[in-house]
Amino acid sequence: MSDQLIHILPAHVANQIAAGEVVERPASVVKELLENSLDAGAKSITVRIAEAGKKRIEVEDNGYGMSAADAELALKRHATSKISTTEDLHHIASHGFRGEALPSIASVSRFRMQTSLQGSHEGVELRMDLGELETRPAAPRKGTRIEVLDLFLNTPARLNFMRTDKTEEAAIIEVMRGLAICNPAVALNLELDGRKRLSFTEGQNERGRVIAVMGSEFAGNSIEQRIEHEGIQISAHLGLPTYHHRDTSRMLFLVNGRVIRDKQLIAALRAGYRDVMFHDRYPVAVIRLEMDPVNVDVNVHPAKREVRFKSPQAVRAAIVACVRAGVERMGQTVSSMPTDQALQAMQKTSPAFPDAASGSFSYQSGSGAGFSSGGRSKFASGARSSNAADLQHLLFGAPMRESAHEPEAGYEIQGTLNLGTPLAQIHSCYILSQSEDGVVLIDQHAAHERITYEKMKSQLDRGQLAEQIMLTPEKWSPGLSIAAWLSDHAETLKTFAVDLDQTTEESFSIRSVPALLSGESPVELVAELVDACMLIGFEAEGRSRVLERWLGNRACKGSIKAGRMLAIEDQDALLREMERTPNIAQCNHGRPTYVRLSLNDLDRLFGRKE
Amino acid sequence: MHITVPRTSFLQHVQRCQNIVEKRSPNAILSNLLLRASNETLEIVATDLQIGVSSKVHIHIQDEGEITISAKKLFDIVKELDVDSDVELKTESSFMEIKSGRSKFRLSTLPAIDYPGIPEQDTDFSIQFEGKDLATMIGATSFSMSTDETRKYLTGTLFEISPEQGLQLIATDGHRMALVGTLLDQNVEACRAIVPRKAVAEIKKICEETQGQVTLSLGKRQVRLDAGEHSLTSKVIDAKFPVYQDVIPSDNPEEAVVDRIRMDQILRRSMIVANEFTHDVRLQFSNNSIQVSAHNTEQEQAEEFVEADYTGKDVSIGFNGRYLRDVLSAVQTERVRIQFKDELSPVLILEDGSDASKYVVMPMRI
Repeated sequence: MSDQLIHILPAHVANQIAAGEVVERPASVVKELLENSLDAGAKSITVRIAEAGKKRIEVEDNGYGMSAADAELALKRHATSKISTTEDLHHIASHGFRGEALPSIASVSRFRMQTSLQGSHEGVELRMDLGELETRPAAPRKGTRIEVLDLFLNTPARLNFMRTDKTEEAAIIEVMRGLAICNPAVALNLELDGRKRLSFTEGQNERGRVIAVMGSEFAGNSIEQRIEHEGIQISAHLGLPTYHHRDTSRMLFLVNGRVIRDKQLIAALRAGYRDVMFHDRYPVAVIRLEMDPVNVDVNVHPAKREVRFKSPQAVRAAIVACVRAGVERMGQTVSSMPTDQALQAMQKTSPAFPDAASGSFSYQSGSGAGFSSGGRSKFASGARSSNAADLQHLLFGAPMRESAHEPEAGYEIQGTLNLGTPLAQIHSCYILSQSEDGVVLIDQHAAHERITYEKMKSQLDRGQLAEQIMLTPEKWSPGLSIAAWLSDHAETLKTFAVDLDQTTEESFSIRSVPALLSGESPVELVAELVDACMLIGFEAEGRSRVLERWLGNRACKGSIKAGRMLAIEDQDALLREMERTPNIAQCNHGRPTYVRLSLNDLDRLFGRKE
Repeated sequence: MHITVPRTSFLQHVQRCQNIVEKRSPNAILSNLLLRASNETLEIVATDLQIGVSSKVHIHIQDEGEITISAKKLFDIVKELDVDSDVELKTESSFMEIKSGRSKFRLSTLPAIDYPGIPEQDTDFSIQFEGKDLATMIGATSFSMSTDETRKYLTGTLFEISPEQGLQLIATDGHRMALVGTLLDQNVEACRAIVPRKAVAEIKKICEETQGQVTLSLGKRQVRLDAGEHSLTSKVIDAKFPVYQDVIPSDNPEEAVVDRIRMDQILRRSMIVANEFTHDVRLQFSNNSIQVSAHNTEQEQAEEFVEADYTGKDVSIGFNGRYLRDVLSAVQTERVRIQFKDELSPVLILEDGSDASKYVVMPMRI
């Protein structure tokens, strides 16, 4: 051994190290290969998996293919057709670009590739077994076929860390679904151990593909919303606020055609729904963001699951605005979920119809669809809103001072809600009402809470924020970083009726607070506001966040409690008020305010109809 | 312990003490009253560890002793007993027997030895003062105290004694301030204490019920009131009170004098349509009149003129109407003087003919 300790690693070792980052599990192999196929312009891709990918992963596409020379080069590290200069790195439009995937995969498996360049009359077959490359000519073919056999055969540690087959298969399905949504026009098929698991047909439009991926139930319980904000295009498929999920797994984010799982994006989506969803439930949605590649850094994570935005605030504001716009449109629609639950609960108690539960399902999603689509046709016209004033309004934020006295500001109610004629109050808690096509059950407290809340919001909306001037200015020392932010944004706080004077490098005196909140601690109030502003960077949103929290508490206290008797006139008044109230489908905590049972539902329940 | 007390005076003393008992104290014994019988006197004691109240009543004692018993139950029972009968209290091992007429109760007790009791007197200076007058002064200032617990020093009233100003009470919530003062005819030393909100309310109640003079003592850590059979001791808020002298405007050039009752009535009417959270009203001062106006987000409006002695320039000032009404009901005189500079500077409200009470209200930008 020489006295030189440091040496360059042999290529196959380097590739194995890279594989550790890129090739984490079978699903990551599938993802890398699929992305290559998509970059090669494939219109149809089939994935075949054996033993959760540990034995065999096969990806066959009908893309451009590669020449023999290119194919050989592709197995070298940092060989890529996708970029060539660092300049390109800032304008990445393709899926892959690092040139790591193929050599990495090949270094931890027995690798087979058959390909031929489009229009060429010869093909090539490559075999790579643990670094040994073997090339031989083959018959020409359309596209490329890659087989990855015995994955991780030379990295037993990795193999030992594989989860159960079911888990690995689920991960593969998840990858396929994400890519399916990114590429609605491309046919994608997945076979697990010879059984067809996924099949997305060629040439679907975006909505069609979203529903194919999210399930048909999503179709009736979601709307499409498009918006543009500071150069960010968002097209979103938003689940109804009452159509929620127990975790974040039913949210999908696409950034420039790439599936991204990012805490900030999840937080933004939840922020958009915050006003209308129970705090421990999560929205179901597909959000597609398109922006100039310059404004997003995808070279953060080798598997490209994380990105960095140049302006996270703008992205957040755009998502929140989009969701708010969507929520505004569907605010009066309750998802079919509570109805399903209601029916299932009732059917459990009627043993005479053991099969009814399964039968009811298809019908109810139909009823949900019928109801919401009835509203949707009306929504379509006003769906797009991109100018700044609209955006502000969508963000609920009481409008800035200029627009303070517009009497028509506030949510508008779109779609018509008919809650029928009240028949009775049940246990001083729920109202039973007969509607055109069945009955409606209304939770009086939840409904009234929402009515109160919306009223207070519209008050805020219409009046400018009155400013209570302090008799004894309050001292506030927020620390250097906040102080620095404040010296650039002092004007921002003015729009919240907060007047700050900088007294020293890092301390301020609070000279005025919003009169609405004058009973609260000024320091806490301002700190909370600044916090919200710094985090979100969008003025109206920050304000609404602070004010909403406070309003929400007030609304709950001032509402009709469950257990209060209501005369039939009062019940009727409550129903009519509900019909006029935006976002009425759920209370401030996201619980539904009413549940419908149509005559059809009732007929089924009693076995009059199949 | 074995005693007999007339029901009426007993009820009054129990009520006085049970007021300050915390209804849901985690420490069980703090829900109790301490009864101590010795030297022909029954002393009833209650404390929430901040405030302690003691009430003494002269009675006939068969057996001396001390014990603690649930304040709420004792009060509720004594309240319901026959008005004219005596109440007999007797301890039986760990229980207390209460007898009156044909009624008989048995309540559980806790030993007096565990009761925290009231701290020793620890004050620096005392004054004698007419009880009713002190109650009035508190009533005229206490509404200005803050409820914001993050600014402890605003949640009490400053009691200040000085040779120049006599006794002054000052309360502020950061938006408005109330100051009332009375000169004293005794030689005094300068001293001050911030008395917490709850103690202020209790002192006021005791003073209201007291005929004649009370003794008010201030210390660095304690304030104490002795009023006949009752005495109250409270911790003070250990914080710096704002320099109130700086807050009182001394050079407000404009003054309007207006009938107090009429002004209050107009405000009351106008506020019906003011914003229900901010209560904002606008006062437009112009030659010999004040126009009061209010509106809310539903576009409802109120407008009314009131004649006033005013010859200054036209000024329009926004206020929280509640703050104004609080002042108008604290002031005693038939007319009030409103002194101001412009729409954003502090406004001073004074009684007609006296500068002893000063009310400062900060305008609202609306």
